[in-house]
Amino acid sequence: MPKQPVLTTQQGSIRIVRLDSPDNRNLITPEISRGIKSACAEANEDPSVLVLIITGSIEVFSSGRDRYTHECASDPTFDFDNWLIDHRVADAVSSVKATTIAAIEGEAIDHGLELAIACDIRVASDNSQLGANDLTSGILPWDGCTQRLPRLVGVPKALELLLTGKSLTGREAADIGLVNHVVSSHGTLTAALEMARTIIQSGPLALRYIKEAIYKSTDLPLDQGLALEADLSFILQSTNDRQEGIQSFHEKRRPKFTGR
Amino acid sequence: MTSFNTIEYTIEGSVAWIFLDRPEVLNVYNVRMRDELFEALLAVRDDPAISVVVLAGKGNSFCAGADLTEFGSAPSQVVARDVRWKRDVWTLLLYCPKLTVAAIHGHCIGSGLEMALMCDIRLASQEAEFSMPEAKLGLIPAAGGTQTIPRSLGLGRSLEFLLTGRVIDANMASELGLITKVVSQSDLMCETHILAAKLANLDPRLVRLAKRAIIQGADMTITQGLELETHLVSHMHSINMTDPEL
Repeated sequence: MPKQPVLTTQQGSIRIVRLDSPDNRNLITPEISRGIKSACAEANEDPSVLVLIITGSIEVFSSGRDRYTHECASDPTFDFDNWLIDHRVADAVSSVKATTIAAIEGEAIDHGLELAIACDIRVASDNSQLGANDLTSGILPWDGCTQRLPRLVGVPKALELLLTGKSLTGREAADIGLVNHVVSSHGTLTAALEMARTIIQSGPLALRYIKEAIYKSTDLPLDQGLALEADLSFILQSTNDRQEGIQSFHEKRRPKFTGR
Repeated sequence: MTSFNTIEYTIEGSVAWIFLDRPEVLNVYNVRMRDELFEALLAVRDDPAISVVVLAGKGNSFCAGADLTEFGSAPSQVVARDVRWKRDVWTLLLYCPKLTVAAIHGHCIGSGLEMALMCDIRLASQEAEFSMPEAKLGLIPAAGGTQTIPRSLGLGRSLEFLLTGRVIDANMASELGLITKVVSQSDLMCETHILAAKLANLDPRLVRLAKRAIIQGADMTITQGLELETHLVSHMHSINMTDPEL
């Protein structure tokens, strides 16, 4: 049985998705794309999954971008739209309802960067490299970089990274908010798991609604965003978990949430 | 001015000082405080002699969040949704035409932090601590945090801050852009006085227009925002500058 390039393991309500294709530095091929997308779909079908951690190997998160051949480029029957669909992963990751954390060791470059910034939170090792070489090698990024990167680090930094193709170390990436934390090499998965263990103690519905409200804050005018937040909090008022949360606070004990 | 129970409201020159005044419970925000803040902020808005308002907390903390003793069985959601917009303290604070300063010490948690984020400027003392623990109680922020925090921290950091409910200290809060300036605990009130006096020297008509331009413009396309700026600038020039009403 051929080795699977995308491996999924589980620790309670934490699921870990690992890219493991060292021969091509975890380049996101259609096979890897399928593996990531199906892990995302499965996470969405299982409400007990509260955190999804995406990681690569110790040497590399994911580097480079799959390309079509010269022949394809000049072939009028080449189906570029489907080629893109077969390769894209970022939208699938960003539509995961659970909290997504990227644990980055080594390079997260080009399509690897797009995968990382589609996650909610990023932890990187101090010897990691994050960057976007696409323009300098003659392509336009096609899996969300031009939209997610500026919304994450601001337009000036995004332009600088894309136009110069420079790579940032984990430390430099943390300084500009591209990653949340930088840890010593080999420590990212541990750090991501530690963060995940904190997150899973919270109300599952609260986690989902907070994530929804925050992402929508980038698109909604402030007054409409405030109205959305208010409505989401009213919906939560009808849940058992809200009752349990408040009661546990008064009784000075850990809450036991059920996601209802 | 009616006497308040949960806040203390005083005026010094053109600066209004609102102290949250439930120090025995770390100034947690309850319905009474909401109503009294609403009244005080209306007074600030409508009093032409006031140009700056400072929000601070009595006792050991700024505000440790919402008063959970009032979170009994949920009212009808339909009623709750209606009532939410009737005494809308947060919008009143956010769109206050006067300059707003939060002076933060001790715990600044949940709706306490959300309240501070509705202000224009935040000063914090060295030992202040900030967190948004709502998710841990099966709740979400309900005083604007999911909207105002990303506008200060950016997406990635906001998601972590709200999903983990972690506590950050004043230096981290300042580095992340959540607060404007950190000062020593003993200097907080003095520095706040100095800042308030400086802000009170600005022409209140210009302040009103500038706040409109920036806060409303933030939700517009840049083209629309530049048009708004031009409109406000023309408006400023076309009126008699001795006319206090704009």
